[in-house]
Amino acid sequence: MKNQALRNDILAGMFLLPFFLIYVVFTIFPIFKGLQMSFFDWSLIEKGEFAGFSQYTALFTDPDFWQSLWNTTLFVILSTPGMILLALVLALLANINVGSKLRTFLRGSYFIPSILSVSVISYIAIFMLQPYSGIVNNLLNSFGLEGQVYWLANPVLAWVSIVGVTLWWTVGFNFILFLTSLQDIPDSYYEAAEIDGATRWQMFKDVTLPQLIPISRVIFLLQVLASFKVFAQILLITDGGPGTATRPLIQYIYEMGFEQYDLGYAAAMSYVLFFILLIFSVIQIRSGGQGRMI
Amino acid sequence: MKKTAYAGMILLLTAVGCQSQDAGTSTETGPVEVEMWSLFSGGDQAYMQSLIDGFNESQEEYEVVMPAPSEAADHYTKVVTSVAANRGPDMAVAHASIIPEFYNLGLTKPIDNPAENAGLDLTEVNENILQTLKMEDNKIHSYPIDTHPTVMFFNKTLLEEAGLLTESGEVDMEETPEGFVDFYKRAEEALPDTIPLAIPTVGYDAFTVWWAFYHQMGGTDMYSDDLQEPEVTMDNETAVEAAEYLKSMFGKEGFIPPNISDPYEQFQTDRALSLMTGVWGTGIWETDESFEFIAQPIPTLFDEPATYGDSHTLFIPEQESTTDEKTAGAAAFMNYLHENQAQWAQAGHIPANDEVTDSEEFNEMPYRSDYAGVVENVEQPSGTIYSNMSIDVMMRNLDEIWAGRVTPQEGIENLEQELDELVK
Amino acid sequence: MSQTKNTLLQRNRDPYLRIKILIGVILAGVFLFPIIWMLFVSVKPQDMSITAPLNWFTPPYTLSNYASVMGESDVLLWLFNSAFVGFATTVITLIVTSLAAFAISKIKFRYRRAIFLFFLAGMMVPGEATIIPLFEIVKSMNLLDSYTALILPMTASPIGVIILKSFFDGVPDELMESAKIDGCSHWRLYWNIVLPLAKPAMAAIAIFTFIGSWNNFLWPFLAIVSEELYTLPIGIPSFNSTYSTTYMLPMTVNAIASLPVIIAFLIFEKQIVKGVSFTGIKG
Repeated sequence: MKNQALRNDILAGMFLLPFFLIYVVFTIFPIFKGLQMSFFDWSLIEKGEFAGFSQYTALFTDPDFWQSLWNTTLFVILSTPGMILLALVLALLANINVGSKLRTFLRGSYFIPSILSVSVISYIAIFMLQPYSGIVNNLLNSFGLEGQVYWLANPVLAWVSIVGVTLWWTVGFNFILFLTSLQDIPDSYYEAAEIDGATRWQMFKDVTLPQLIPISRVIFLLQVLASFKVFAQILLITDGGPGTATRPLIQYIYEMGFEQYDLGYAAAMSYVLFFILLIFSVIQIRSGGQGRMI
Repeated sequence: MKKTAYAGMILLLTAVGCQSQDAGTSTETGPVEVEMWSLFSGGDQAYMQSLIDGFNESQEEYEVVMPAPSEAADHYTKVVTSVAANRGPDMAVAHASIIPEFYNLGLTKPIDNPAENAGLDLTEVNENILQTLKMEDNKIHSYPIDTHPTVMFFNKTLLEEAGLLTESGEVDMEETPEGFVDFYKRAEEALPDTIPLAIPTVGYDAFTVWWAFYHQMGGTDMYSDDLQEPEVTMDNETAVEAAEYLKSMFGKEGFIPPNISDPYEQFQTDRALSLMTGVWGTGIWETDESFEFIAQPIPTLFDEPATYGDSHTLFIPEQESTTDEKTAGAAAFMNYLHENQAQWAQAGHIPANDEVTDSEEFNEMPYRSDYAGVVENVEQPSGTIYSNMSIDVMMRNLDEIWAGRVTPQEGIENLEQELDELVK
Repeated sequence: MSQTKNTLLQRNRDPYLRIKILIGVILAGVFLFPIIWMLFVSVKPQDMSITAPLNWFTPPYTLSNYASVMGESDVLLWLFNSAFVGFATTVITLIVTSLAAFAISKIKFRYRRAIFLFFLAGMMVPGEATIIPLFEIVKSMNLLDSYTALILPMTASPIGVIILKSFFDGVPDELMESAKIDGCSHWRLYWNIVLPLAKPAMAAIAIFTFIGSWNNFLWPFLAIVSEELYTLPIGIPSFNSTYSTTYMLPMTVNAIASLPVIIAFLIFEKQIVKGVSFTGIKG
């Protein structure tokens, strides 16, 4: 019997080993490596001297750090409501019971931008938003608006552009999650409400919405987590500009690490991001987990 | 079944993993391959390629190869990252202003010995430039091939049309702050549909013009001369004054319209009367035979002549994969460039080899001699590991001023603060 | 049954159905518009200058942009790299996560719960926040700038293990026991019995792993220097950033990069949508 237990241990070890190795080296070890790096002068080329807490004290007095952290937060604040409300509206629209061809078409249309590469959507946006020759300004002009809108040259408009593009690009994921939940609401609930003589609005308010609350919470937390990681589309569309008005934290980390070759400082700032994201991750996992499986 | 699939996967991975590692090693026969990365665009890249071709044909020991270039910012990141990964090039182009930073990172190999072995006489290099490349260890860490100051270009046809040329064919401009403005007021009147001065409100050109004015007004260096721990020594008042003067040229009251998208194109197609940019403009526009232009130093509007300038240099990265053999090959190529800098000057640049600058071959080339003297007045950000980064900081903060988001006073204050943060 | 009833019921009673359809279709148009625009621009002659909005869509058309983009850029190589890296990442992820999930679900061994919790903890590690040390680790392993660097760090997906584990848990132990009595080894159990039953979960994991790898920007952006190893998200900006005023070539590169995924989406739409709702991943 003892023999059997040992055999099982070894067997389990063999099954676990490939995943375990990759997981430890590339997921767990970086957490500790990053902590070490943040306490050293660490250039892109080599490890330098022990720096104590100096990276962290520098970070607290670095206005660029705070600005980029604020920019990231601002993006979360600006994009999250739209990401949820628009997704809900789209899901309600795509859930109407008419021919399945139309339903599939609507579902596909709302989701398809999500599968495009960030580089593709960014360059579509850049070219569509160009002054003089871009089609967005063309359209505005043909609707009677005089002059040119410089979408990416003005901080407010640059944020509008970034949030708008991101909404178009990724709202499809949330949309699908809402849609699936809508379709999961048992018909009997509606039938019961109907027997009670509920109006359509009452049905929506008393049946649909309450049923969507759990998934809304999941979507909200996933959305906040995802938005805090914003980087690529801003880098490509505005490069953080005009000036540094839209530069998010990850871009600043990148610039410090790979344009100023200061990996130690970049690691220290990453740690701040790490803790922010960790907090949301913990909340998310405690409040119901990733998607529907867990 | 599963086992074979897994083993196959691992095999595939190692195979492809090794593939990129082996790239670049030479076979035993044939020339030693020396890989060079560059940041050139358009004309510069073509001229450099023809020099490389010339070198490869001139001898059989080495073969220099140059992949497609990256933009400057990406280029530097790429070079440093790849050297860190021991997959860097054997030689890379870098501006003189970034060499102290690279030296400090331990990225550069001294070139004194390799140069000597290759027969390259560094004493022939312009002393001013060479000094900026001599680091604390008293060694030269990069080989300069040119100086590329910011100069001024005028469309000759448009000048004639507007009557802005003197009888002797020179630009009819009084070299004072008021004279400069007056010149453009006359230009605007004579050519209402033409952009008088094409400088984009963001980026490099506007920064270099500000820099030129600042130094013409007697402004001091941004940093004290200390490699690792310099102090900010910018002359705040002068910086504001220079910014105010340039800012007054932008926008409706001025003569630099907003949002100039492609100044080179606008200049070459007679839509812009003039611009200020690097000397590489010469190399671009002189290939268009129907296009007539004048190239000259930025006018001295204030106390002393000054302009912005930097140098293209070649350095040899310090890494395992750059063997002695490859280093020797890189030095041999530097030597070839040294002797053939006149050919590089076709791109518009001013040679760093004084022998070439004094040569008849160079002085017979059109345009260059009109501005070659500028070399004496070039102010270059250098001497500290922060010089190159400070250019970014300056550009970014000045952009805010030109766009009108901050006043010159505020912008320069922010600029000074950021320069200060950089060194802390 | 009830579905049709519900349909009838709603159709009869929803006075706003027409308006809803109208809004839904208009919004669909807005979502598709940029993609359609991109495709039209990619077939416009290069020297066209366009001022009126309608001109973007009207003839003349040409396919010459496709030829010149394939000549001037390495877009086909990037396409191959993205596909290869995505495929390899997906296959390895499926193999290692299913092996690990099988052990945790079906083998009784010491520290089973501890190891599962250890994997669970990984779900909270935000990859973006550990990318700097990851870079340093991969650098010190001398793996930077290789396919291995692109693939291997992205294959240890704790979510994959967790999803598969809960799926394997659903395979009744009696089935396992009877198979064992028949002399099946654990490897055979894993391969012949449990894996086939987990196909839907495997498909979902495959889909999100592939989409994730296909769209990954930050990691290849840091880890790759050589142009031969560029994936599409890295290659496209390197090509497009050299254009500021001509639309046609950048949009052609975009189209070449997008058409395969659009076609794949149209074919596998059902599975993809299921996969997304199944795992709740975010782009």
